[in-house]
Amino acid sequence: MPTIIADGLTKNYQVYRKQQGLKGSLKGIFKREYETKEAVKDISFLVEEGELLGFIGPNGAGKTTTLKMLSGLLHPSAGKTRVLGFDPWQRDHAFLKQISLVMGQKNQLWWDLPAIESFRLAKDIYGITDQKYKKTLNNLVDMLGLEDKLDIQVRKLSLGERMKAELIAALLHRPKILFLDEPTIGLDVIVQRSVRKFIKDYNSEFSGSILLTSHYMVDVQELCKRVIIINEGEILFDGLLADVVKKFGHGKEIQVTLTKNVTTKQLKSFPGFTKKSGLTASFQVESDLSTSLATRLLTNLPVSDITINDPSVDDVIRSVFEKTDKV
Amino acid sequence: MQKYLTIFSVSLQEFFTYRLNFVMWRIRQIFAFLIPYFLWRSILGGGGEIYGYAFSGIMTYLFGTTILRSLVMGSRTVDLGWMINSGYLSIPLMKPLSVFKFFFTRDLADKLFNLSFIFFEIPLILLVFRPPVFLQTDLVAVLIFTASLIMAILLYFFINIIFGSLAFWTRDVWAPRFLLMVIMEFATGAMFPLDMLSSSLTRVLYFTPFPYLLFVPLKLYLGELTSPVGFLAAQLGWLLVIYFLARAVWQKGLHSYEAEGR
Repeated sequence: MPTIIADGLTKNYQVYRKQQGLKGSLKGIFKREYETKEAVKDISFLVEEGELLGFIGPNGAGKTTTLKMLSGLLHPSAGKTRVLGFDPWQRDHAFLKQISLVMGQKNQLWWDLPAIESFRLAKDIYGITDQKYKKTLNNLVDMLGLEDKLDIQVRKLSLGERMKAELIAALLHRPKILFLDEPTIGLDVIVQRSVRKFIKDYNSEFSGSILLTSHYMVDVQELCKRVIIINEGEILFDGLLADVVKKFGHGKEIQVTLTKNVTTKQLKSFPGFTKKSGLTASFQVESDLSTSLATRLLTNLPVSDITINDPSVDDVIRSVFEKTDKV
Repeated sequence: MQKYLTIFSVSLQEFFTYRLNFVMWRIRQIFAFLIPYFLWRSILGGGGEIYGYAFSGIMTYLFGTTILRSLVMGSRTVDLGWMINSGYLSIPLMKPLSVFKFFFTRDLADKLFNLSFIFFEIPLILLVFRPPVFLQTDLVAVLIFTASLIMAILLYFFINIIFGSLAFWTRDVWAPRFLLMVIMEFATGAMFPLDMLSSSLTRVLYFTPFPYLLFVPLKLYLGELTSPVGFLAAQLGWLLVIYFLARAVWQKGLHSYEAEGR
């Protein structure tokens, strides 16, 4: 049986439409207009045990809302879900003992106490035996390199160290499912990399599924074989990351490096111009037109280097979102 | 069970890091005793009685409520409103523990913290103000008092849950909370004994659970209530009503919980 079943999940919020300015605030005391925002619209998918699945989508796409419904925090407006055979909304202790939710911006560690105290607390809350606790703790601390930071007050740790401690606290009870909501948000590049490496290593070392949401493409590219692309509450794609380009990527991306500056206006005169950055210009055209365009560019522009590639996953996904926005 | 013991000890540790805040809080509590003391001294200090209370009687009463306050009304469940609005409630919600028990454990830690300060304050008050202290020797009265005290503690806890849960529906938690505090200063008997009031006013008050928080337990301790069992039963009735109301409000609130703020 799949470890996670989502069936027609829907979530609607009532949002108060505040009218502008002070007059609007005064009006709002007496009469408020509410409108229904459909954060998640009828999404369904299955996750098997051991998968590392990425949810990618722009802000407000519904990724976090979906995750919260799967973990039992939010009550779905419609549809149902089964995680590890449980209805997450019931929040059975037996269910909660097997999952973990890490939210990028919200800290579960006690702010004024050293991290090790929060770990001890997690040990008791989850009923972990001394032996297992020591083993898992040492393992995780090793993997994340946090040895001498455990006795320092959490508030004194850097953001990256806090995130690592957060991950340890979340994994001490060896959950079968780990929900990671924007785990790398706000972290510097080096820490992002180490967190990503950790997640990858963890997934290969320990059994269990990981569901990750991110709007950083690189997170998903580095970690997930399978992605679900969400926008405006709907699933646009559910499958292997490698197939995203195949399905949505049309044609080729041509990148030229120029020897001297050419105006954007001039570049726009060529079909498929997408962007210019410094002395580099990018174009995207259908595969059969790529060679003719390449020839034109080489003939008419001061080109020092030209590459013809399949479009990057980044660009493809961006174009997928733009397309749906236009619709 | 172990998890709640650890939550208790971790909460205590947390409170210790806010030492200055706490000292300020205790000073405020001392003033809560001093102000009525000076007020009553100016009214009754020279002798005489008001509504059946001489100065010594008032002092005994005030001394009692000062101690009981820390026991009954030391609470951290006031944090609930903020936790709901900030989305921080998600954290205990996701743990395999009872959220009510979690908050109650934190309350108990807070009460213990308050009590430890009281051990310094009481000798100080006794030394300076010499209020007549009544030590109840009747075992039955002590038992009845203990039962009433436990119920008062639980009653206050569930009232806090209800008021904190308002945050599920509105961001304005501060205003109803403030109103509650103002009403309680008066209706719990913290400021003055409720039997000083006219019988019609007292009857109105008994339509609320508030007298059962301080006034009734204290009076039971002093052995000054006729039919103590009747009062216990009424208190139990209120406790059950408020408990079921708290549970219902909480469950309904969770449905609306948007876990916002990430």
